[in-house]
Amino acid sequence: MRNLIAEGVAAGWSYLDASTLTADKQFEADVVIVGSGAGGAMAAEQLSLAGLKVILLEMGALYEGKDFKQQERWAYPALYQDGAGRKTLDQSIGILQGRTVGGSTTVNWTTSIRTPEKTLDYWRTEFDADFTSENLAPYFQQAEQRLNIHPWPVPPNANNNKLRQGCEVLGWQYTVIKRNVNGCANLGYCGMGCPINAKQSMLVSTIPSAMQAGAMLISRVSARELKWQNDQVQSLVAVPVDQYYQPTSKIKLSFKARHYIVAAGAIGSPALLLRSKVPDPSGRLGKHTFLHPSVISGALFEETIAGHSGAPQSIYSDQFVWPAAEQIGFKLEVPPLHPVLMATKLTGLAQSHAALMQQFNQLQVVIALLRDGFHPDSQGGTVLLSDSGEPVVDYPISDYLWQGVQNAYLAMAELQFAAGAKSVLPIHQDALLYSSWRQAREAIRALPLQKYRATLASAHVMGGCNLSAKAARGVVNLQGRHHQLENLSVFDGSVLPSSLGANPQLTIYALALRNTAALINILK
Amino acid sequence: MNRRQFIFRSLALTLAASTGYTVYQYQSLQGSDNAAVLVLDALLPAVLMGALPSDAAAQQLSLQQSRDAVLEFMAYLPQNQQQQLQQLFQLLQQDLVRLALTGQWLQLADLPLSQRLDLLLSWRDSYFALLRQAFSGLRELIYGAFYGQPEHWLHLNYRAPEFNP
Repeated sequence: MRNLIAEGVAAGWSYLDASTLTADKQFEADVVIVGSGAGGAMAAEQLSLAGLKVILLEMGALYEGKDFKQQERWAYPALYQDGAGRKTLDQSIGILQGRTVGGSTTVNWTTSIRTPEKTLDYWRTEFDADFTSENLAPYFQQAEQRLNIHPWPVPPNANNNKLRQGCEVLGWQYTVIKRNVNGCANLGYCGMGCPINAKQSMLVSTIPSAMQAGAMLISRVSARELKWQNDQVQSLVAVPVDQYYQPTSKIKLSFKARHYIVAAGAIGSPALLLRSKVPDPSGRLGKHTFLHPSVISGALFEETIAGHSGAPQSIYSDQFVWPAAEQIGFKLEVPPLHPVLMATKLTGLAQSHAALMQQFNQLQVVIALLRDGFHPDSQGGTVLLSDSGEPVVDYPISDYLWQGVQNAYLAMAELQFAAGAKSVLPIHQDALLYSSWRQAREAIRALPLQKYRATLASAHVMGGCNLSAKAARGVVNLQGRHHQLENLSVFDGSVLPSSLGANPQLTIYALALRNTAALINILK
Repeated sequence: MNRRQFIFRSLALTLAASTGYTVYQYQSLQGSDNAAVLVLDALLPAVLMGALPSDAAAQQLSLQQSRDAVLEFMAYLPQNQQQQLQQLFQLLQQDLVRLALTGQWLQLADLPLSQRLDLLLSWRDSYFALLRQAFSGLRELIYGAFYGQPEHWLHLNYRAPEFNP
């Protein structure tokens, strides 16, 4: 297996690990991009191929191909924000977010879904966004070709297959997932970095291509502040991070560019803009952060599930994403099952927890991703800064969301029993293993809908720098350009004005491609 | 006598000569690092009941490795969260010390596991959001640290593959 970037660097590509610097340093480029994930790296490739000088900054470290170890105790601290222990302010929702070269694309589960029509309709009504499935289609196609996104032709693993079986028995909608893979060996370790370069993350696609075209990559660097005056950003100040990815203060890196693209993810991007105190007349900067808060349901089967093995996500169900009533919708998927991920999420204590863990290979898990942000009672969270300027998301959970949590527990239990589960365990502190759908239904209706009782997690952070045609309703315009600062763009999940009701990577790729094309026209 | 035993003997002796609340004045005997170690050492055997190896030496090693893994992992959390955790460990330490002294145990190690579990469950069901947070946070840290270690996967019938050994 080849380490594409390391080989390129050996052959002369421009790369710097900022933590090795011993003195301040200044850089100049046409475009500086903060963040090497789905938005930033997609833009970096297009800009570099257009002949512009690009510097791509990443807070995480450079790990690729052969570096990846298939152990969570290595992967989480090395590749995820806060060692995969990121939480909302009150610690009620866990957040999985990549922090490594390639961003979350390095560790995601490869699910690639175009933006749902109804989500675009909502943006058109609320934010005057003239996006349609038709006018975005060329950008979706471009991303799909670039990253070899295609329906997964291999039979689903048992964990996904139970989701399919349950849907078939109940007559519920389900879809075979499209994945961004090439030469995938169906290993199941996407979440710890693909060890065989099969996942078409930014790490093996746009980043090497941008570097080949002359872009410079700087890892282990934290962007701290955009210096601006009037309507122009004048420079970006950054610092190296230490071995634990904490920003340091001894050395400063400063960057001057014609244009600045912020793509540090939906927590990092609003945080950088908040630290920089950029103009915010709409009052929406760092507001309306969406998480697809996810509810979890475990089930025990007689047969072996071994949910650690095989493509982690290959089936989803949209049966409940767009309910007719005044209820929050949710998407049904499954997560990969690895020991730490399971042990930390499963309920029970001492013997009861140990007993569940001993049935690890019989365990099947479904998750329901709540489609937050389409309702007055789901306005999302807020990115706040600590005294040292580090971000945290305050995400209140309204009764409207809690009702969705209960509905999701019910749907998942019904599905798991329909698929043949022996018993079902809603992941809630007060829930037990239930042996029939009738028993589970009664028990779930009585579960207290409270934080810390229900285990909630998020793998999709969106919003905080929302797009809107009108400056009064958003932070950036429909091209991702900041409404007030002329040479500043935001190109990542933070521009989304609601959650998506679908996994976000393909939406972010398409919007980044669309907006980069417009930006190139201006800069060339 | 190790440091932990020393601390508890000092506290207990102090208590004998004063009211119960005097205990709080002696928290300074223990540095903040020590609070984390003390709380983890007290809770790990309870939280991991049923999962630990049965052999005594292996069990001791497993507990130590899990505690160290928790402490190592904490360095990756944001600074303010680390500070909150340290404060939390101090608070939890007070709870544990009070429990030990109430039962007149001279060492925390003598505190029955069932009582440690009851204490944890009382945090889970506490009126105070901080203690409910503490319960879920500690639980996650401990199980994450324990099941991150390959030697604990035996009962799971799981082995991590090595694609790039």
